[in-house]
Amino acid sequence: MFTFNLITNTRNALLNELFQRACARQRIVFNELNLDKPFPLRPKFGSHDLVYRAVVTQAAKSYERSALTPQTTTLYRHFDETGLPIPLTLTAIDQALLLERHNIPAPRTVFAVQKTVAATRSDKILLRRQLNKSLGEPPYIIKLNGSFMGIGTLKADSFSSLVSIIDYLRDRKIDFMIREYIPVTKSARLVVLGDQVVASLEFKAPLHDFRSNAKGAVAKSKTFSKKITEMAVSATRALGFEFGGVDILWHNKTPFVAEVNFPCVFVTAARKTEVDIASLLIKHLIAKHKQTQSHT
Amino acid sequence: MDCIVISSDVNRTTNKLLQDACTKRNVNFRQLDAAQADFTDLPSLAPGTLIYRAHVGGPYLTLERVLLNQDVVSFYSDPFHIVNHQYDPLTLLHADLPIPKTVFQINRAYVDDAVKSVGGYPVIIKSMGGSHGVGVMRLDSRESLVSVLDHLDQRGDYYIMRECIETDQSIRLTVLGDRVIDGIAYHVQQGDFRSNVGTPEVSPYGASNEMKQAAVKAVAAMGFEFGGVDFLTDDKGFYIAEVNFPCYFPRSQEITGVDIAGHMIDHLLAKSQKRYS
Repeated sequence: MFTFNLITNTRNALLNELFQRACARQRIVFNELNLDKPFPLRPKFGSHDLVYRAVVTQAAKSYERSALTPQTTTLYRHFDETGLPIPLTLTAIDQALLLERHNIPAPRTVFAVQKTVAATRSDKILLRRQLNKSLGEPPYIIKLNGSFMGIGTLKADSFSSLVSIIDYLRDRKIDFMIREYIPVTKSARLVVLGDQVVASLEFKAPLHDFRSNAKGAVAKSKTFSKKITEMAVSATRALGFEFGGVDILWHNKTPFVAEVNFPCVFVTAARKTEVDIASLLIKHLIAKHKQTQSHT
Repeated sequence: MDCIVISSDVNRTTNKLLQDACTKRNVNFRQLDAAQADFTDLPSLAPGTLIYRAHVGGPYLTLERVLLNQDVVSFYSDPFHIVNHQYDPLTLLHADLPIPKTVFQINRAYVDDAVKSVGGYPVIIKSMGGSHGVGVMRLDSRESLVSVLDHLDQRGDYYIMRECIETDQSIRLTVLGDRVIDGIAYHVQQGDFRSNVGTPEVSPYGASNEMKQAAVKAVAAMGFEFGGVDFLTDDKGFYIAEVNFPCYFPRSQEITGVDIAGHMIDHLLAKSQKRYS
């Protein structure tokens, strides 16, 4: 008898419900490890435990790591030398670097710039020239680690705006990267599970917002070409996940992977596409467990 | 006579200038570093001791507040008046001083009205707590503004919105008592709208009487007897950007040669003598 362990919180109420129903349908035990409520402090997952962490907080990540054993079935592709699944906890910057290393098309990115607050005039002229060469003319996007639903994705329309924002971020010790601005009115979210895309949405940016996934964005179900779905699967795989929400942008019909979201809160995707993603995810974990058992 | 300067080694130039000024006047200079201080065993100060805080930041402010409870002489007109810098621009506004058009609290439902009220884009967002231009951001479009405000709101930062004064220089006037003792101009660097960041280009500045009067009034309105008043100028006139206390006066002293440190000690000595003679 399998147990599906969901590391979650109260904000994920809708997602938790989707998983609870999916478990009931598949007659497996649903174990909600809600970090906002009392929970077992040091669980150790066994061979029939399936695990999905739906929260990105450091506490949730630590909790998951403390409970995983080599026998646990997860959505992670990498294992350490003892066979323990490695839950990669990638920042936006780590992700962008990995995607670049795997040649996944992504917006042109600069990962570090000199401290501008103490810069001389000639330093600034040099920085401006370097950015123009690497990313083109402004506007620029400043993407912060820990951004979600567009919050933490900032736009600077001019170089002087950029340096003033950078100074603020550095002062507050916030990590960021600078990316080329891709003027989009639409973007896509592809939900990848294993080697296929199981649901996909097109987002239309809210009026007067460049962030197509910001609050107020309109989403509709849409199927994308093979090229796009393959790109999404490759990106998810490159980051070491078997599941993820891949955000795609287009510039002059050229697609780019903006980011891969793991965990991915797929409530909207499930509702708009009418795909039972929760059940598919659990079935995937069970299949993975059986496959692993048959190999050993 | 003792002069207590609450400071750290970061302020070494300020410390040195004040120490030299004290030595010339037979005043005992004593630096107290809040980061090193034992707050359970602070010095007992003689009545009339001169005191100046050269360092910004929590523990330094606390140390100053604690010592001000003794009978000391400072640059505060009322030493027990607690300054909340979040409301500095409002204090200036209430004193009928010219400041850039400002929105003090932005309700996100009315963000377009806020922008309109400061004269449209570009706008300045000033996140409180920075210094030397840090936290002062220029945003050129609604898209840029909304993306930055989303982030600030998520962090819970307090910020104000201001009109962007297009200028190629800002002015720093140093006020002591009821007069301006020094003036310098910071020239805007290429690629930045802020004039006081990085390695600024600075020159002496002769201010108009009108500007000097505004500077003196601004420092008094804030409850200080000393301060650095920053002005922005354009073809319509001048605006007070902020009043700095403590203020980094060594740059002015170096550029103009005015012995600001000496004037500061003289001011405190005169105040002490007036009170205790």
